[in-house]
Amino acid sequence: MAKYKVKILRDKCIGAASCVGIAPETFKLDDENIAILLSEDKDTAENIILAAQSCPTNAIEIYDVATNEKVWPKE
Amino acid sequence: METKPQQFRAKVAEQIIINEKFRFVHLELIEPDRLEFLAGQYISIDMGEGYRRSYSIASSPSEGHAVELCVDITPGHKGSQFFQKLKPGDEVKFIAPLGRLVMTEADKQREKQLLFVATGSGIAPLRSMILDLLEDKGDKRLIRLFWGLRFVKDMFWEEEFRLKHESFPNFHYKLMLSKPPEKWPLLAGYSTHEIEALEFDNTWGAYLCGNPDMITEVKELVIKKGVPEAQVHFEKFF
Repeated sequence: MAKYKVKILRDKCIGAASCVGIAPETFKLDDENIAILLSEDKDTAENIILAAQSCPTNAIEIYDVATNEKVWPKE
Repeated sequence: METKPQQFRAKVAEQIIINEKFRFVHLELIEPDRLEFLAGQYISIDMGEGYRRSYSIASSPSEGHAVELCVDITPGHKGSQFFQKLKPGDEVKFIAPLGRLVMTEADKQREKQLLFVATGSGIAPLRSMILDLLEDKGDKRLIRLFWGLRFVKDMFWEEEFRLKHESFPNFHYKLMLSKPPEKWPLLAGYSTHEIEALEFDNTWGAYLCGNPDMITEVKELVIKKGVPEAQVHFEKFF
């Protein structure tokens, strides 16, 4: 079962593809070069967090499935 | 061939204060001690507490054991405090290589002439590509670089690019100042105006990095002049 729930803020994504490089089983770019979600439990939880932290525009939000708390970005 | 991103540790070998806006940072790799990347890619630096900032690599892939960055340290930028505190010998952690502003084999086949346009530190990935093409690959295609800065005090690397032009006749370079002093003898204004006067066709490739407005304008302009959209490559952060 996935540890994190992933939300992609489509308006913020600039297609830099750092998420795809770090967690390729979780993210891919669509035809408009915007990140879309593939799955939430294929890459390691650590790589999913790293992918979100590496996004230059903070276009990826990560929530803890157990607590529903936002893990990234920190407010 | 693209390399899978991984974590690196590196040491600050040198940090040069270019002027009050830009710093040049040379990171010598510790572990792993070599980075294979494609010219135009970037690294994601760990700034602590989960915060990361992305910086394009300004050096050529042939360096291998090191990466050079051109960092905008204008106050208010998230990474500026980090770099202002950084000293030679300090250790830095980053993930690399990342990013898609690269020239693939297919691009090389289609693009017989190259337009590079940057603003500010957006020059970094384009410098990496220019060094790679001219010095490492001996590329003979026409390369036109337009680089926009605001003020005279922001200028750097102009000597380096001038010397490149002298050594490589296929490389042409224009530095544009948007806020020049009075009686400025060189080019003033925006790159877009210069590019407007040039002819393009479907054999051109365009590589853009910097200010999002510049990217939008130049992209629309060159597409209107015949460059296929697939041959316009850009990075909106730098």
